[in-house]
Amino acid sequence: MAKLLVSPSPHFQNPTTTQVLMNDVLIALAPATLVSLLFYGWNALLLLLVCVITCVGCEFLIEKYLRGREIPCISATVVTGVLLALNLPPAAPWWVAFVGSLAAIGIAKMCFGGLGQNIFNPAIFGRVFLLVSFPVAMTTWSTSPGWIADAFSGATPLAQINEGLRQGIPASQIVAESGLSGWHAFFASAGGSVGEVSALALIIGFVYLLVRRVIKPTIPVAILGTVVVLTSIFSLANPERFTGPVFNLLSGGLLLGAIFMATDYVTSPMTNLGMIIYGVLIGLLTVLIRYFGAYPEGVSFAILIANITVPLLNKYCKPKRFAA
Amino acid sequence: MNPILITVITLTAIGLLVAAILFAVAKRFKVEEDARIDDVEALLPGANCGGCGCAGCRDFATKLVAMDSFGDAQCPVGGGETMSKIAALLGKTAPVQTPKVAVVKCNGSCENRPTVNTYDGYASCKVKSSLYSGDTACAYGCLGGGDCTRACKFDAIKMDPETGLPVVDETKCTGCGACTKVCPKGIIELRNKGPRGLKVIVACNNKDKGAVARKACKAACIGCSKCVRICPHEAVVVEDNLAYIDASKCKLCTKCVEECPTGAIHKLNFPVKKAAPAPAPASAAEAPAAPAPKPAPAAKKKPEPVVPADLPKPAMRSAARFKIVPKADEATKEEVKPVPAEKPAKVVKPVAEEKPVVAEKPAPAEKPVEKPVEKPVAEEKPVVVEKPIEVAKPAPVEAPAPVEVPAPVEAPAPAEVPVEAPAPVAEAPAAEAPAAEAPVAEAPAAEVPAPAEAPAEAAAPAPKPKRAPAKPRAPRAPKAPKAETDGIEAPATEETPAPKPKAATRTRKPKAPKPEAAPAAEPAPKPREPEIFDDVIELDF
Amino acid sequence: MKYRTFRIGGVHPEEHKLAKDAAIERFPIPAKVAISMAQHLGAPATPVVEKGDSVKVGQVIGTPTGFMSGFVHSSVSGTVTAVEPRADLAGRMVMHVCIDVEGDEFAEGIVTSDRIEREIKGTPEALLEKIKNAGIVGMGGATFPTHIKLAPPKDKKAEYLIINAAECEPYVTADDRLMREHPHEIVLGARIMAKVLGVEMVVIAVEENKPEAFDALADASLRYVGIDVVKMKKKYPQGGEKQLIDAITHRRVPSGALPIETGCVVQNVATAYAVYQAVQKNRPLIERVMTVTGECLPAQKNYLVRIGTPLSAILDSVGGLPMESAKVVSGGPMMGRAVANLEATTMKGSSCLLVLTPEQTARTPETVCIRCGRCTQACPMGLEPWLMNRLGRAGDTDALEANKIYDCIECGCCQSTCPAHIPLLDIVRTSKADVMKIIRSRAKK
Repeated sequence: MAKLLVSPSPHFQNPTTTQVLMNDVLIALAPATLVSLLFYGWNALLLLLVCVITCVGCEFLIEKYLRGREIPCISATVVTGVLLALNLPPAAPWWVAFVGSLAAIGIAKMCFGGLGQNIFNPAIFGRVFLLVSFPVAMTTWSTSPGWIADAFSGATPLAQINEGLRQGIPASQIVAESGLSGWHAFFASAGGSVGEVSALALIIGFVYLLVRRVIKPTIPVAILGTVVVLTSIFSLANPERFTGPVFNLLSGGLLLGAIFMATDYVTSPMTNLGMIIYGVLIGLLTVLIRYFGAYPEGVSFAILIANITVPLLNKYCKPKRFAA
Repeated sequence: MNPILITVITLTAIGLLVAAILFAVAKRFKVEEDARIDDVEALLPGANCGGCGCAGCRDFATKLVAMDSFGDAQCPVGGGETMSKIAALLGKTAPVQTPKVAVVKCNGSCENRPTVNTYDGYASCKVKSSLYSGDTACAYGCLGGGDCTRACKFDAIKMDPETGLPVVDETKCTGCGACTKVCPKGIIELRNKGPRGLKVIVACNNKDKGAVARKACKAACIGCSKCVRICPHEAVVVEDNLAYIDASKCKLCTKCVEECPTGAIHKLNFPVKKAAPAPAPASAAEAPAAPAPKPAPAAKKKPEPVVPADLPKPAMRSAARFKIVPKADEATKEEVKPVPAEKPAKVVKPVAEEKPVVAEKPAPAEKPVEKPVEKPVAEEKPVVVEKPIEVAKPAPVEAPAPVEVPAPVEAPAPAEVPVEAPAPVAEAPAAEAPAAEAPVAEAPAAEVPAPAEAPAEAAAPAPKPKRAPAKPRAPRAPKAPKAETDGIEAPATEETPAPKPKAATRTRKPKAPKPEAAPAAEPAPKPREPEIFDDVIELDF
Repeated sequence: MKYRTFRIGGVHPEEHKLAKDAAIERFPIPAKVAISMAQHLGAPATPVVEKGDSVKVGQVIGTPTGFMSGFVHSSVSGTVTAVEPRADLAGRMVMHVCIDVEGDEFAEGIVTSDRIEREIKGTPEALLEKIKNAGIVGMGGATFPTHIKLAPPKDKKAEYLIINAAECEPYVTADDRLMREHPHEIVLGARIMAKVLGVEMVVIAVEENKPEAFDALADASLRYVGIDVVKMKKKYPQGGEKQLIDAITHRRVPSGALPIETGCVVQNVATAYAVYQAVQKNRPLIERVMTVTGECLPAQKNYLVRIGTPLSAILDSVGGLPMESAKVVSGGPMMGRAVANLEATTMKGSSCLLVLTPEQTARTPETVCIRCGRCTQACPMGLEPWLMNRLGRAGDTDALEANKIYDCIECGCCQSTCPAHIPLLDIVRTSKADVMKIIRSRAKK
């Protein structure tokens, strides 16, 4: 006699599970990772491996021995590892990656309750943690030869701007000398962290995520739009002091942060209005920190600060109710 | 000025300013509350379980302070003790509180109740019951979702993975009622904890017709009413094809448990019946040994061994109460009855006085003496668990017993007759077991109140005296007396001397010496047939 | 052409319209039927026949109990063998009238021919009475007594009659075939209802995935004024009453209110067909079109079944259950009810019998909520299922009420999009029941 299956409706589940979504994010990160490996060679690979393995290992141990369960979604942890690796300077020693991963997973994710419960984006937290703890290691930009590029040594374009402005050189001049001008910069430019190499690779990943419906374009568009608008205004007003939109778009971890880190499900708002406000806030903070702050790079701090506002945004930016 | 000095002064000033602000705010926004609320709250257990019907212990404390009289207010976790402490504090009277525990009235385990479909939704009884009638053919039974385990704040109810049913840990259960409220099928009920936790319940909630219920679950109540018929206390009613035992009337005789054809009635916390003592012929040692453990404590419970020589009846009373009288017993009892008739005169008196303790002791003693086999044994057993044990163990308790046995043995026989007359001595205790015996029946009735008070102290002599008339027991005793009459006189006589001393002292110790006599008696206990409640004889409530 | 649709939420499940090319077939009348007395919202009907009575097709066997109730008619002719409680598809005991079938004799007055009667005779009140006496209920699945819906309170005036031909649930094709094969009857039924309500605008809303049905209805409605057939965007739950009103009239039904507040009355297309039969042919509601479908079934069918036919008989006609363990759903996969008892019988609201394999339907265990927001974006009522899941598990009924959980239409969009497979609707449903209980008890005081 057949035994019927009985359950309340609906009678099917979404075949796209959390694991599938995170796998898609990894695939979207693949082009950027590949380009960075080509540029920075073995060290980049080492950093990548150390980050991923430490993240996964840390989460596995804590989940198993403190919470008594398996890792809920291993791909999410791998994504954190990869993002953290892409945020490091190419010459970073392996222990920096190790400590950063421990901080990212152990503090930012596990201390808050594990997957789905953290307030801060773990990768960003890891990067900021390292920036503050090991400023020298995190701002040394020399590299070993990559597989298709020569060794590079020197400050990142943003650091050059900072330095140069302090010395009184006009911004436009620094930009022209930095190697971030011209169309080729869009495709590949050295300088900056591992993942900041190729804007094109990042944008390919972005398109992939949109096509696969993993993310909505709201947050990246809000961030980049805000940055473009603000930098245009400022640089038009005072081109000596303020760098232009193109430079800002292509430098620093803006694209990486806007596409991959600000759109992290757990730490971003859930309604459209909330997402827009979040994106605008990040863009505004990035620009302010870059123009007026002590740190040359502003995206990480901007995202961290915006993460703090997300619970508030979720509370007050309710979706549009059907019935009044 | 020195920067350090400036710093120190500034910080101190800020600190003082902030302190002043805090002080002012605390004063201005202070909520006036009766100070006693804090004291009462400190006395409450702090579990915030809601069993009192209030929103937490603080809320309950507030209400208690405001009440004129406590009325029904109770804290199930703290119990009567807590309430009386609070009453003392507030100068009010606390209501009497009977501890309750939750009982699960379903025996539809995975084995008894096969599933007919597979539930694939969220694992919650609430969701499941709002969706359909359940994944088995019984629409009234436990759904297995575990809502009750999540509702319990005291970790007292857990799902048994093998049976799929919830199991209540009575040591942790506080009777707060959270699980009863949350169960969508209403299979959990709060009942009085009962003497020593003993309870007899119908573990079924199925109101379908018998055939339908049985098809759905092997252990379902089919509403056959056999339990109603067998219950000597009219404690069971069958309504809507479902039997229900009224705890206030149930005397825990567990006859219904045996009678139920599907095994739907359960007895909770009853000691597991020991392996039947070797048949009488078996070494005397065994017989006493088997019941020994239980009787031992029982013996302890009944401290007063003071049993006048002819006080065997009480012993029998308690034994009779819990013994499932084998048919043979009945027969013997019958036979015995006439015997007592002869002795009424003498029996009556002693019985009256000594019943309480003596009865017990002597009974067993006699029995063994006379006929190590059948009847005497049987009778002894019910009479007083202790007796046999006592007999068996020369040690402390028993000694006197044998002594007494002879006396009581006779007493019962004759006692019965007179007993009836005097009535009901209500030695209630006896009443239970030997329902067969009319007099006995009366006794139980009377005993009901008694047991309630002193469940544990079967030994309490106090109750016994009440029962003194214990005549009812006599019927059971009949076997014994018979024996004695037949030929136990002799042993009795042997014993008699022993009991007397016992009676005098009312302490087991004196009995010790008796054990010598006991050995003689020992053989008797052995012959006793296995009794389910050999060791429960002490129950005297 | 821009098709209309509702503006908040919605999902796009796969269509699976496997049976859309199966013409309607009359299902053979079974040997025994069991007609439930509880086939409509409200109080079950009171049986008026007894064991041993002989009945004819269309004869009244149950009368309304109270205001919110309806008539029940015999769908077969034969002898009543029992009037007793029987298990329905959820295993719950409900009063049924069990009849042994003999022949197929219709009661007097019922016109059995298929000729289309175009002339609508009678006052609106007389028509309404006919609809009531025919036991017509909403055939979309909600089974709301039609005569109550068509008689709005005096102070509410109906402006639009919307015929819901969206059939947005995957797999179900009963309405599709009905529209293709009987468009004239449907249009006439709509006209009858418009006359009862006194409205001049009738809108028939058809989803864009039913082009043939759309064409058939558009043709049939040409000869009449005031009947508009519109194409709707294919989205779930397009067929939800409130969503349809929003899509067509851009009016939103307020919280806790009935659609008549917006001046709209929505009726299912199969209800319109039944109304035609009742008024023009004196034929009460005794049968309906039911889709029998599922990838694992060897044949996909659209049966015209008599009410009271055992589900097992219907399944057997397509080869029985193809596997040891399967899920049989009465209705569509989004809102349908899983059948626990195959001896249950068809009712007025049974639009589909769907058989799903365990691979298609078995639930995988839930994982952690990653706050992706898909549920919130999918909810057509603008609610936040992730929040209600958390509040529901914590039992915070105050917060649930503040978050308007009572607006939930239980469409299943949230749970079907959740990537963590969290049983959102299960929890929202029980929490909603708790909150409604509290609200009702508050209103009583």
